[in-house]
Amino acid sequence: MAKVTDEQRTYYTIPIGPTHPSLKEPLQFSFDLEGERVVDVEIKPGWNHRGVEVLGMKRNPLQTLYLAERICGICSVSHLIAFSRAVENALGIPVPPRAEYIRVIIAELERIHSHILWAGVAAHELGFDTLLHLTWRVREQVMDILELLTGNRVNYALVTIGGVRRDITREQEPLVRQALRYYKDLLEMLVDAFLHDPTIELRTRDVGVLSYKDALELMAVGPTARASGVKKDIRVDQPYLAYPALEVSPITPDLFRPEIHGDVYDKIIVRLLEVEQSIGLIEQALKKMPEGEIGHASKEEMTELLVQIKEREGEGIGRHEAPRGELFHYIRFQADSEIPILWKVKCPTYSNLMSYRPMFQGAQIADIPIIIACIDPCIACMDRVIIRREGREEVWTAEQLLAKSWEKTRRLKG
Amino acid sequence: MEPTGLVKSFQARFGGRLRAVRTDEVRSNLGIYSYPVIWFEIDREILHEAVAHLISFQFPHLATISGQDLGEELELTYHFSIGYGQRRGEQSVNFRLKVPKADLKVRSICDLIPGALTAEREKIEFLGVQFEGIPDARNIFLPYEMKGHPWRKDEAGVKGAWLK
Repeated sequence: MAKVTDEQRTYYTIPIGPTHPSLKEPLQFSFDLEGERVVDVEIKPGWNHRGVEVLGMKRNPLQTLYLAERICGICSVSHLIAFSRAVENALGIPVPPRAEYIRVIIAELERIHSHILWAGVAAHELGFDTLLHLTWRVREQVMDILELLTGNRVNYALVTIGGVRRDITREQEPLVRQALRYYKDLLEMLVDAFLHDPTIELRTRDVGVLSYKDALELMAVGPTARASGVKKDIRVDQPYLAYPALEVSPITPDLFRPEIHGDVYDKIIVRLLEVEQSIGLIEQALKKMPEGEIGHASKEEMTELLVQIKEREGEGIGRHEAPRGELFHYIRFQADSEIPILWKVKCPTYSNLMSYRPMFQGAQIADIPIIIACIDPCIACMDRVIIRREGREEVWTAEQLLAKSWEKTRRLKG
Repeated sequence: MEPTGLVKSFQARFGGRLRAVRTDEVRSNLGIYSYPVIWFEIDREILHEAVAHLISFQFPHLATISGQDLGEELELTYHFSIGYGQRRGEQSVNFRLKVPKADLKVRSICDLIPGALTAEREKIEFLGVQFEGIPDARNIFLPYEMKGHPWRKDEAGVKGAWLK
């Protein structure tokens, strides 16, 4: 803890993280405090950077599929969709319409499980563990459906360049519909538990406020932007996959209460309403999905695809509205090589990182965990290199930081 | 805003300083919709002015800045989009510029778009670009005391104990 004294006031700086009970992944915050009030915050990501982009520039895109999927465990299909679209756009590879619908269904199932997971984390940060256990228990239903459709709870290995690897069969459809009915019935209870609970209202209303202007200027994306009234939703603005054929509109908090405040409460509203929206989208997709090919290549076709990738050149952008916001992949190929010369991944938390500062300014220490959680940060997506230094110690662990902090406290006490 | 209108407006404003323009039409596989992706190749001197001109249409969304080492020079691509908030109205606008290794200065756009800071700081640490007027030039994803720039393919790259 560092103490800074100017003429009128005394500020303290407390480090929280890189590892801390309120953080599921490493991220370091340094808070400047005046009493209980947060004056400013400095954020240092990068504790888990793995250099995935450079690895992807050393192998062909069919090999990178498995790597891209593992950038993040929560939104793994999102990375595959964005990556595959980037490659397909760069090289002009078509995707059969049925595969586009299957991608939408899996993407929306992922949004349901991600938003419900987040709701549980938010409840836990507020000290409401009964609600955490309830939300995570009801989340199991969507995990089961994902396992039924793809074979896995996470890292589904479903999307491939030019299509998807598994079809949704006639026998599976009723089970998906049954799960959707389960969530439809449940939604009223979840909305009641989160949005009509006086304790949650007290802890989240006017806390972590992000104004419309800040959300716009600091490039916020996804539910973080929409909760402040910035209507950015790629599914609506620049529809892709099967979204051009589906009814979808951006969710903002004014659908639930008269005014947009941009606080944590608004972020809960947006995510819960988006669960409802996803249910509707999957129902529409199941109804409209045409019969036909899914673009799953045989071994021979795979070799042909690789030859195409090698012969063609081009650059492409793949954007996807992931549960946390805009996910962006950019890839460029030169002729005579199947190895891309450039691959850039930009995840939603990268864009939302700067929005933390205005949200924290003026907050209380006790609000720090819920504000950290409110953008639904996904550090695994954002950090991509591990740095090891031999000989010297460079990255401080939580224990070292704490020891330093205690030592300084003792010293200051004299 | 039609994509051709946007391109014409940039051509009228910047003339020969726009080195090349390309518009890709990305078609939906359902065959019912397509959207434009515009690529501008510009001189680095006009970057700030070009971004200001883009802001005159709508405050743009900046996804990120991608960059690579081409040997003699670095290449940066700013990935913007405008027209969000309107159903099927969004178009992608990309500015590409070359930065010679002998002079790595590029004017920061943080005064126009404060949210560009993360992307610019990332290009400082990974490529060694020097942004003029950036409010915070420290490393973001890499340790503050890191030596070398991981995306560089020359002697400015990462060496020695920093590599495992």
